[in-house]
Amino acid sequence: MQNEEQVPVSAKDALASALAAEDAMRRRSRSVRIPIAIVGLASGAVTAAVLLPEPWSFVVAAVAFIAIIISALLFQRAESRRLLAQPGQHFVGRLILVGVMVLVPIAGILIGTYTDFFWAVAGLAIAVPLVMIAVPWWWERDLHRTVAGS
Amino acid sequence: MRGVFDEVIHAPNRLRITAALSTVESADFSTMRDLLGVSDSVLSKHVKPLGEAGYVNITKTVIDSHVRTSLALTAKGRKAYRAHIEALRAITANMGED
Repeated sequence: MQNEEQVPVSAKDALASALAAEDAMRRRSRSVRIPIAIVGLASGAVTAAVLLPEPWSFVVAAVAFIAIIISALLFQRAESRRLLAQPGQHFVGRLILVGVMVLVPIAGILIGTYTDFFWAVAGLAIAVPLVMIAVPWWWERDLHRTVAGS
Repeated sequence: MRGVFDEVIHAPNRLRITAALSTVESADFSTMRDLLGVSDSVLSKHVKPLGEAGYVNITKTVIDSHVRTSLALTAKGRKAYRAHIEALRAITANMGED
Protein backbone atom coordinates (compact mmCIF):
# COMPACT_ATOMS: atom_id res chain seq x y z
CA MET A 1 0.00 0.00 0.00
CA GLN A 2 1.42 3.36 -1.02
CA ASN A 3 0.52 5.13 2.20
CA GLU A 4 2.16 2.64 4.51
CA GLU A 5 5.79 3.33 5.27
CA GLN A 6 6.85 0.38 7.36
CA VAL A 7 10.07 -0.28 5.45
CA PRO A 8 13.05 0.53 7.69
CA VAL A 9 15.08 3.42 6.35
CA SER A 10 18.75 3.66 7.19
CA ALA A 11 19.97 6.85 8.81
CA LYS A 12 22.30 7.48 5.88
CA ASP A 13 19.50 7.15 3.31
CA ALA A 14 17.15 9.28 5.44
CA LEU A 15 19.76 12.01 5.75
CA ALA A 16 20.44 11.97 2.02
CA SER A 17 16.70 12.08 1.30
CA ALA A 18 16.17 15.03 3.63
CA LEU A 19 19.05 17.03 2.16
CA ALA A 20 17.83 16.27 -1.37
CA ALA A 21 14.34 17.50 -0.46
CA GLU A 22 15.80 20.71 1.02
CA ASP A 23 17.82 21.34 -2.15
CA ALA A 24 14.85 20.61 -4.38
CA MET A 25 12.66 23.12 -2.53
CA ARG A 26 15.41 25.76 -2.55
CA ARG A 27 15.73 25.40 -6.33
CA ARG A 28 11.97 25.57 -6.75
CA SER A 29 11.30 28.50 -4.46
CA ARG A 30 11.60 31.90 -5.98
CA SER A 31 11.79 35.07 -4.01
CA VAL A 32 11.22 38.33 -5.86
CA ARG A 33 11.94 40.37 -2.75
CA ILE A 34 15.33 41.55 -3.95
CA PRO A 35 14.40 42.46 -7.56
CA ILE A 36 11.26 44.33 -6.43
CA ALA A 37 13.14 46.14 -3.69
CA ILE A 38 15.87 47.16 -6.13
CA VAL A 39 13.36 48.40 -8.71
CA GLY A 40 11.43 50.25 -5.99
CA LEU A 41 14.58 51.77 -4.58
CA ALA A 42 15.85 52.82 -8.00
CA SER A 43 12.55 54.31 -9.19
CA GLY A 44 12.00 56.06 -5.87
CA ALA A 45 15.49 57.49 -5.84
CA VAL A 46 15.30 58.68 -9.46
CA THR A 47 11.86 60.21 -8.95
CA ALA A 48 12.92 61.93 -5.75
CA ALA A 49 16.09 63.25 -7.42
CA VAL A 50 14.12 64.68 -10.35
CA LEU A 51 11.46 66.30 -8.18
CA LEU A 52 13.65 67.22 -5.22
CA PRO A 53 13.49 71.03 -5.78
CA GLU A 54 9.78 71.04 -4.90
CA PRO A 55 9.05 70.03 -1.28
CA TRP A 56 5.51 68.79 -1.95
CA SER A 57 6.52 66.80 -4.98
CA PHE A 58 9.32 65.27 -2.95
CA VAL A 59 6.74 64.17 -0.37
CA VAL A 60 4.67 62.47 -3.07
CA ALA A 61 7.79 60.82 -4.48
CA ALA A 62 8.76 59.63 -1.02
CA VAL A 63 5.24 58.21 -0.47
CA ALA A 64 5.41 56.40 -3.80
CA PHE A 65 8.81 55.03 -2.91
CA ILE A 66 7.62 53.85 0.51
CA ALA A 67 4.48 52.30 -1.03
CA ILE A 68 6.59 50.29 -3.45
CA ILE A 69 8.93 49.04 -0.74
CA ILE A 70 6.07 48.23 1.66
CA SER A 71 4.18 46.35 -1.04
CA ALA A 72 7.35 44.39 -1.82
CA LEU A 73 7.72 43.45 1.84
CA LEU A 74 4.00 42.79 2.37
CA PHE A 75 3.75 40.38 -0.51
CA GLN A 76 6.45 38.20 0.99
CA ARG A 77 3.87 37.09 3.52
CA ALA A 78 1.17 34.79 2.24
CA GLU A 79 -1.49 36.27 4.54
CA SER A 80 -0.86 39.82 3.39
CA ARG A 81 -0.66 39.13 -0.31
CA ARG A 82 -3.85 37.11 -0.16
CA LEU A 83 -5.58 39.81 1.87
CA LEU A 84 -4.72 42.40 -0.78
CA ALA A 85 -5.41 40.05 -3.65
CA GLN A 86 -9.04 39.69 -2.65
CA PRO A 87 -9.82 42.92 -0.84
CA GLY A 88 -13.57 42.56 -1.38
CA GLN A 89 -13.75 39.88 1.29
CA HIS A 90 -11.87 41.73 4.00
CA PHE A 91 -12.70 45.02 5.69
CA VAL A 92 -9.05 45.94 6.07
CA GLY A 93 -8.42 45.05 2.46
CA ARG A 94 -11.31 47.26 1.31
CA LEU A 95 -9.96 50.07 3.43
CA ILE A 96 -6.51 49.76 1.90
CA LEU A 97 -8.02 49.56 -1.57
CA VAL A 98 -10.14 52.70 -1.14
CA GLY A 99 -7.29 54.58 0.52
CA VAL A 100 -4.71 53.76 -2.08
CA MET A 101 -6.87 53.81 -5.20
CA VAL A 102 -8.81 56.97 -4.46
CA LEU A 103 -7.08 59.15 -1.91
CA VAL A 104 -3.55 58.97 -3.29
CA PRO A 105 -4.45 60.10 -6.84
CA ILE A 106 -6.72 62.86 -5.49
CA ALA A 107 -4.00 64.02 -3.12
CA GLY A 108 -1.46 63.88 -5.93
CA ILE A 109 -3.60 65.98 -8.23
CA LEU A 110 -4.32 68.51 -5.49
CA ILE A 111 -0.69 68.75 -4.50
CA GLY A 112 0.35 68.88 -8.14
CA THR A 113 -1.68 72.04 -8.70
CA TYR A 114 0.54 73.84 -6.20
CA THR A 115 3.76 72.82 -7.93
CA ASP A 116 5.44 73.49 -11.28
CA PHE A 117 5.50 69.76 -11.92
CA PHE A 118 1.78 69.08 -12.04
CA TRP A 119 1.83 66.18 -14.53
CA ALA A 120 4.85 64.55 -12.89
CA VAL A 121 3.26 64.68 -9.44
CA ALA A 122 -0.21 63.67 -10.65
CA GLY A 123 1.24 60.91 -12.82
CA LEU A 124 3.23 59.55 -9.94
CA ALA A 125 0.21 59.63 -7.63
CA ILE A 126 -1.85 57.78 -10.22
CA ALA A 127 0.98 55.29 -10.72
CA VAL A 128 0.94 54.24 -7.07
CA PRO A 129 -2.46 52.46 -7.23
CA LEU A 130 -1.45 50.96 -10.55
CA VAL A 131 1.60 49.48 -8.85
CA MET A 132 -0.62 48.20 -6.05
CA ILE A 133 -2.81 46.49 -8.64
CA ALA A 134 0.05 45.17 -10.77
CA VAL A 135 2.09 43.60 -7.96
CA PRO A 136 -0.68 41.34 -6.57
CA TRP A 137 -1.83 40.44 -10.06
CA TRP A 138 1.71 39.57 -11.10
CA TRP A 139 2.24 37.58 -7.93
CA GLU A 140 -1.04 35.68 -7.97
CA ARG A 141 -0.86 34.70 -11.64
CA ASP A 142 1.23 31.65 -10.73
CA LEU A 143 0.77 31.40 -7.01
CA HIS A 144 1.32 27.67 -7.02
CA ARG A 145 4.94 28.24 -7.95
CA THR A 146 5.68 31.12 -5.62
CA VAL A 147 6.91 30.18 -2.21
CA ALA A 148 8.63 32.85 -0.21
CA GLY A 149 12.14 31.95 0.82
CA SER A 150 12.94 32.11 4.49
CA MET B 1 21.91 21.28 18.90
CA ARG B 2 21.34 17.93 20.60
CA GLY B 3 20.05 15.23 18.29
CA VAL B 4 16.64 13.79 19.07
CA PHE B 5 15.32 11.00 16.89
CA ASP B 6 11.69 11.76 16.01
CA GLU B 7 9.45 8.89 14.94
CA VAL B 8 6.80 11.24 13.54
CA ILE B 9 9.29 12.91 11.21
CA HIS B 10 11.36 9.86 10.26
CA ALA B 11 8.84 8.25 7.88
CA PRO B 12 10.29 8.88 4.37
CA ASN B 13 7.58 11.16 2.99
CA ARG B 14 7.15 13.06 6.24
CA LEU B 15 10.89 13.57 6.42
CA ARG B 16 10.90 14.99 2.89
CA ILE B 17 7.92 17.22 3.71
CA THR B 18 9.56 18.70 6.79
CA ALA B 19 12.91 18.99 4.99
CA ALA B 20 11.35 20.90 2.09
CA LEU B 21 9.31 23.13 4.40
CA SER B 22 12.38 23.91 6.50
CA THR B 23 13.82 25.93 3.60
CA VAL B 24 10.80 28.20 3.07
CA GLU B 25 8.27 30.19 5.09
CA SER B 26 5.38 28.32 3.49
CA ALA B 27 4.56 26.28 0.43
CA ASP B 28 1.34 25.62 -1.40
CA PHE B 29 -0.07 22.12 -1.15
CA SER B 30 0.24 21.64 -4.92
CA THR B 31 3.89 22.73 -4.84
CA MET B 32 4.64 20.16 -2.17
CA ARG B 33 2.67 17.46 -4.00
CA ASP B 34 4.62 18.08 -7.22
CA LEU B 35 7.92 18.23 -5.37
CA LEU B 36 7.35 14.88 -3.69
CA GLY B 37 5.71 13.30 -6.72
CA VAL B 38 2.79 11.90 -4.73
CA SER B 39 -0.99 12.14 -5.01
CA ASP B 40 -3.11 14.65 -3.08
CA SER B 41 -4.43 11.89 -0.82
CA VAL B 42 -0.98 10.56 0.00
CA LEU B 43 0.29 14.03 0.83
CA SER B 44 -2.78 14.72 2.99
CA LYS B 45 -2.26 11.47 4.84
CA HIS B 46 1.33 12.39 5.71
CA VAL B 47 0.64 16.02 6.50
CA LYS B 48 -2.09 15.09 8.97
CA PRO B 49 0.18 13.50 11.64
CA LEU B 50 2.64 16.37 11.23
CA GLY B 51 -0.21 18.78 11.89
CA GLU B 52 -1.45 16.78 14.84
CA ALA B 53 2.06 16.81 16.31
CA GLY B 54 2.12 20.59 16.01
CA TYR B 55 4.93 20.48 13.45
CA VAL B 56 3.05 21.84 10.45
CA ASN B 57 0.47 24.61 10.13
CA ILE B 58 -2.17 23.99 7.50
CA THR B 59 -3.85 27.15 6.20
CA LYS B 60 -6.76 27.18 3.80
CA THR B 61 -7.55 30.37 1.90
CA VAL B 62 -10.28 31.04 -0.67
CA ILE B 63 -9.08 32.91 -3.76
CA ASP B 64 -11.45 33.38 -6.68
CA SER B 65 -13.69 30.58 -5.33
CA HIS B 66 -10.74 28.19 -5.22
CA VAL B 67 -9.42 26.82 -1.93
CA ARG B 68 -5.66 27.07 -1.70
CA THR B 69 -3.94 25.13 1.04
CA SER B 70 -0.62 26.31 2.40
CA LEU B 71 1.75 24.33 4.55
CA ALA B 72 4.25 25.89 6.91
CA LEU B 73 6.62 24.43 9.43
CA THR B 74 5.95 25.68 12.96
CA ALA B 75 8.75 26.72 15.31
CA LYS B 76 8.24 23.42 17.13
CA GLY B 77 8.42 21.53 13.83
CA ARG B 78 11.55 23.37 12.72
CA LYS B 79 13.24 22.58 16.01
CA ALA B 80 12.18 18.92 15.87
CA TYR B 81 13.39 18.61 12.28
CA ARG B 82 16.80 20.08 13.10
CA ALA B 83 17.12 17.80 16.13
CA HIS B 84 16.15 14.80 14.01
CA ILE B 85 18.75 15.68 11.38
CA GLU B 86 21.36 16.00 14.11
CA ALA B 87 20.35 12.56 15.41
CA LEU B 88 20.73 11.09 11.91
CA ARG B 89 24.13 12.73 11.54
CA ALA B 90 25.21 11.28 14.89
CA ILE B 91 24.05 7.80 13.86
CA THR B 92 25.84 7.95 10.50
CA ALA B 93 28.99 9.33 12.17
CA ASN B 94 28.99 6.44 14.65
CA MET B 95 28.50 3.98 11.80
CA GLY B 96 31.55 5.44 10.07
CA GLU B 97 33.70 4.89 13.15
CA ASP B 98 32.79 1.19 13.43
